[in-house]
Amino acid sequence: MSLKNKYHVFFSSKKHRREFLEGVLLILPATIMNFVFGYFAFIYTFYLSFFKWNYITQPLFIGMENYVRAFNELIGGLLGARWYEAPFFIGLRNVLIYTAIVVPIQTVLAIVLAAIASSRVRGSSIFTTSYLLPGFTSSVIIALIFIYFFSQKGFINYILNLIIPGFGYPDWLYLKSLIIPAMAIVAIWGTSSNLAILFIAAMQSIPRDVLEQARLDGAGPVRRFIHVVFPLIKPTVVYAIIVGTIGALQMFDLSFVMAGPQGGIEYSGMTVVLDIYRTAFLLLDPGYASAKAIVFLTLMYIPTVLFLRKYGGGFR
Amino acid sequence: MLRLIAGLEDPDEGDIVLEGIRINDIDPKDRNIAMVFQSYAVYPHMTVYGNIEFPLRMRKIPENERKRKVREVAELLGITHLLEKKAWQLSGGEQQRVALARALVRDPKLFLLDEPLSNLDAKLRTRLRFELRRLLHDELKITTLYVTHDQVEAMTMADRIAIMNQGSLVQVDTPFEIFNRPRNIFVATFVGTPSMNLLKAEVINQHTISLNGFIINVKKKLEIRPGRIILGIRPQHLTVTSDGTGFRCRVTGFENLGEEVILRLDTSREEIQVVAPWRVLRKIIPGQELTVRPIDKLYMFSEDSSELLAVIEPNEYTIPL
Repeated sequence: MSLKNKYHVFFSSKKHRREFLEGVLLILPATIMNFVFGYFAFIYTFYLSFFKWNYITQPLFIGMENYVRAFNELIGGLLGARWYEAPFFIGLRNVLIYTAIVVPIQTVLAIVLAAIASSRVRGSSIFTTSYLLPGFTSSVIIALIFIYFFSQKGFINYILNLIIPGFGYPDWLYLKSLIIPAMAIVAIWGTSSNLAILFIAAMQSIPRDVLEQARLDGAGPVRRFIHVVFPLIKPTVVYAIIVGTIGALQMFDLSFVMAGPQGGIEYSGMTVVLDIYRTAFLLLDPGYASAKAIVFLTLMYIPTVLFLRKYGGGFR
Repeated sequence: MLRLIAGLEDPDEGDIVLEGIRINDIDPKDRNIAMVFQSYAVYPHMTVYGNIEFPLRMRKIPENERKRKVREVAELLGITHLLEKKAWQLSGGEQQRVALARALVRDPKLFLLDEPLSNLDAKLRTRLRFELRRLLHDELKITTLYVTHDQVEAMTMADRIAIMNQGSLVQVDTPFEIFNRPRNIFVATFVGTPSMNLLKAEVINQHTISLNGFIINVKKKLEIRPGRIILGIRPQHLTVTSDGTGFRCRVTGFENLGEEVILRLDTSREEIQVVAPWRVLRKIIPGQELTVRPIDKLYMFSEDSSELLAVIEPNEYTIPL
């Protein structure tokens, strides 16, 4: 049957037409929202990126100028421009460092937590509940709490000095080298529990027989994990890494609360999204902010697609 | 039960002894007991080769020996052509062979099979039933514990059958003994298809049994006190009579098996089944009355404990006209 014919049969049958209409009705609310806040916003951003505008006067078409500025900022930053000349570059660099810290640690930690939670060790359920709690708390609240923890005489320094005597009392949020690691710690604490739920679900979907079989085949807990559990949850791991990376690259909330809307001392706590926000709403240059957003999207999109191509298949 | 022996669960009490050694406290991986799960539990992400090799790898057996052993077992089970396939691509029957191969490859002391054929279609089941016994029993000579709900599998494959009812062992015997001297009503009705008829009867004296007025004279002296008993007669051991001897029943239905017919009859006290040759169908319609009489063994069970009291051989009783 040709394709055209097939559709003809599909739409002409009364039963199918009804089913089709019901289907459309069901997805309509989500689609409308998606169009208004997703596609429309995206297209409008793309449109704005070719204009100079200050929200008041008529937008002025300036062609690729915003893009040239954005690239100049990136290349200037690479070539060692001063910090106040290249917030976009510093934001990108910070966010890459932040992602490189957060994603591996939170993924591994979440897998370990999930493994503990799904093992039948005594007390694992209490542990699970207590650990999963931060996952349900707003990241802004977590960040606010952590600001106290990170203060000079705060909890973090106290613990670190207990573990490493003579560690000293650095002021995390006001040191250029420590503010990004501090945000990473907060993020790891806040999100690994969410990921752990994902891994717990993945581990529970492994048939018990298969695990018991591995035990009878002579595999201890560690080798059971390496040879059986991990390969079977690999699709979930890939998913967690991608979602985690996209989330980390777009980080805004922690930086906004912990470093402030201006990105902290010499932009040390700047992120790309914070810079875009700052450019659009504090510097009142939405055209330039839009161009930065498009550049950033392109930069994020390419590696994601490559990674998915390479590891996204899973065993199925 | 298998899970206890394999060590996946711990018994509340009692010892598990394998080759004279108490294995209660030995870790499952050190017991060298192989088990094939009902679901086969193949590792879906590995190749067939990887699956079979896995227990050897876990025991740190050198690579070339592993290769040799996997090939050997694969050949034995006829799955050499599947070795490079991923396990999740296999059909049920193929998965079962892989699970068997994986269990066999490490020369286990004891082999546990948990309803290994129950997920397969009827035709494959019958074939594998025969093949499994030949392989495990005749060729490899491995002690095997085989759990099944299928009495045909039990009868055809086992040297000895252990029948369990609600967690306790009822009888352990050869298939022949199980069939011919079932210890109680549970065992008697478990083996044989259709299952044994149970009729309420009465021992009148040491030589007479009454079946709702129908009298059976027993030549030998019955060592049973007069009173009510349950009389068990296999459906194959009843025959439809044309001369009117026997007890009256009404036909409620029949199942035609081709060669033979299973008649469902109502004795007015209980429903019974009789296996009759196909030609009786020509004379029978539902609702009709007819007479049947026993022509082979009679099993007598206690009404209270359902234990077997006596077996009366066909030459030990007569039925008066």
